[in-house]
Amino acid sequence: MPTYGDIRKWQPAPLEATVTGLNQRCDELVGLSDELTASGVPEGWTGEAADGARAERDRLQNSMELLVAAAAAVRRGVAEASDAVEALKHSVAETDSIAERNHFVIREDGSVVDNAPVTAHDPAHIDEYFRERQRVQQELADRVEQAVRRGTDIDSDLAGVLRAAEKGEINDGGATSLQDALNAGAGQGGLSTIGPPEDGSPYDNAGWWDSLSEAEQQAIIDEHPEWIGNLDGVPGEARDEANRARLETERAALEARRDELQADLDDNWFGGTFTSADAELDAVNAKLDSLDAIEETLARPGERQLLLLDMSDERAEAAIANGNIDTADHVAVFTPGLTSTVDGSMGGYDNSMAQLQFRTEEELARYGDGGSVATVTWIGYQAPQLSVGGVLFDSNSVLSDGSAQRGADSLAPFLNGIDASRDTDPNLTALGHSYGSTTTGLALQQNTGVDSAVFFGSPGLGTNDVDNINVPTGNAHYIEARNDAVGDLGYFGIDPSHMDGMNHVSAGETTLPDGRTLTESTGHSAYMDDSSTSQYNLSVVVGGMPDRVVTDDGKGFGDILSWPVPGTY
Amino acid sequence: MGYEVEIEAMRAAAKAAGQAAEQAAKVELGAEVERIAPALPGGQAGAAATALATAWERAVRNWSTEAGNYSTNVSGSADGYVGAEDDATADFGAVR
Repeated sequence: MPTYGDIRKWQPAPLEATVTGLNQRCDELVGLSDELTASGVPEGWTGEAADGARAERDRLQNSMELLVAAAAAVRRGVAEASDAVEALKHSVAETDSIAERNHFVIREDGSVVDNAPVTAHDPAHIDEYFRERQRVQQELADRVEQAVRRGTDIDSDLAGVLRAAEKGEINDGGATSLQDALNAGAGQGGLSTIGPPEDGSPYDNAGWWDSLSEAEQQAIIDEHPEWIGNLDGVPGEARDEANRARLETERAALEARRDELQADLDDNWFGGTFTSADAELDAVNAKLDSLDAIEETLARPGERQLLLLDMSDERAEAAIANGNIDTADHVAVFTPGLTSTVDGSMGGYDNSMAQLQFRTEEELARYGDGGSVATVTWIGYQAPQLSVGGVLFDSNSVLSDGSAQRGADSLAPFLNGIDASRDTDPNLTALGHSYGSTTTGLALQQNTGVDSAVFFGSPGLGTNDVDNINVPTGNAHYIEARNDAVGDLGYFGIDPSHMDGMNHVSAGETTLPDGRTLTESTGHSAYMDDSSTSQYNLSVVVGGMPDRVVTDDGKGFGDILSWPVPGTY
Repeated sequence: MGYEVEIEAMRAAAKAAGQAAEQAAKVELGAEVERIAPALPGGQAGAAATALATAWERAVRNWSTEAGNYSTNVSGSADGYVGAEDDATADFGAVR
């Protein structure tokens, strides 16, 4: 098996030269066709000697056909290996460049060594320093692992073609001419397409995707869109193309299931009384409605990316970006909460995200770096629903953090995947509303690479300590509107209004220093209203201008009631 | 006589086979894959390519030799028929 050091030394140019050379040799061999045809035994010559000559001439023809087929197979195998090695070299160069930029060394055996100069670090930021070192080291280790996996695959496939050629195992497909043999051989020289790593991290997935040639990537999008549509670490453009291609097949499968269930119910005198067919039919219809909602959203003006499409759970899951997460300077991921569904909520939240994208770019043009923005609505989990069973009893209840925990385990790699898929990380912000803030709070307790967070109307972040929210110190923000009872629940950790170290920003009416007046948001569901102070605060954090936030401790009557008693949390 | 046409056809076939043998001998097929091993150190493909280079070099040489032998044999047979009326009658009878 080649080591990382071996792969560093691999060269596509000699492989390309081999292909060029084999082109010429194949031409020369196929060029023997005229002579071979002319060398045939005259029909009028008969007898033992003629039969012997005829057999010998046929054997010469056949053996040349086999040789031509083998040469064509090897030519194709080497050509594909050349493209694959070229792509792999770029991936290795990118990995080495990340290592160099971040003061790591990757040894020949692939081990990653931290080579940062010894310097004094600000104690206030020491945790995030080590968190970032660990994240980069993990990224490098995973990319190295994938480069070696890919290199081993290329080497093994090519060796297989070469050995088959050597052993005479490439057949001519029953050819009767050298040209036919050439075509038959080429069909046997292709290298296999390597699939994504099993249970890979976003960095594994990014390393795998980077190691593929553009032709291989496009083939995967066309032939296996299900491999990458939801694969964190793969660039948004590729995920979008794959997921859009999947819409039709998902719809066809759901419609078939709907018809099946409907037929079962029609055939059953008791309807769905003694079966779960009616409940499943409702769920299938909701998923079909979700597909409608997704397609309507994608058809809106402006660039959108379908970054997640999953129909495997009880309710549909999806994520749609406004803008381009691969190229935007600033990316925000919004996680909504209680009762959020793709069919019922995606359209409205996408509107809010489109407005937030527009307002953030407006603020960046006015006071910032003029950068571009992408905002994502992420409904990638089973948000609790308001049903009696849901609220009170099951693990998907809003009173349980089970759904948020599972959601966090999906959200964290999604966030990490945005950084992992890009050469240069964007300024990445996580936004969480209501139960979605609990999901976001739990996700950010993992090492996600998120730069800033804004929680709003939160029943708790799954922790009592802002230090557990792994964003750089000082970059966690909380907004609580007047009369938002959910924001005072303090159910999944203390009310964030009382969290030390949290930046409390305003939802109240404001006049900005430049004279603009922004409206107040009240209650639980108006935080993203256009031209509100709350939306403005979201926009300046998303745009990387947190010094422009309008601060406010946001404490009202409900917060007095939710004040945690010291020593009890 | 009257078998000249067939004998000429045999000579033409022998000549074509000889040309094929000559041209094939110049095809350096094996040499092309010798570039693979240094381009891909550390793997299995390099060794496989080296083995293939040897096998192809031998295959081309053998084919060329065999095509040359065929040419010689057909040409020799044609020569043998000249002046050998009985043999020609037997082996070209169908075309008389």
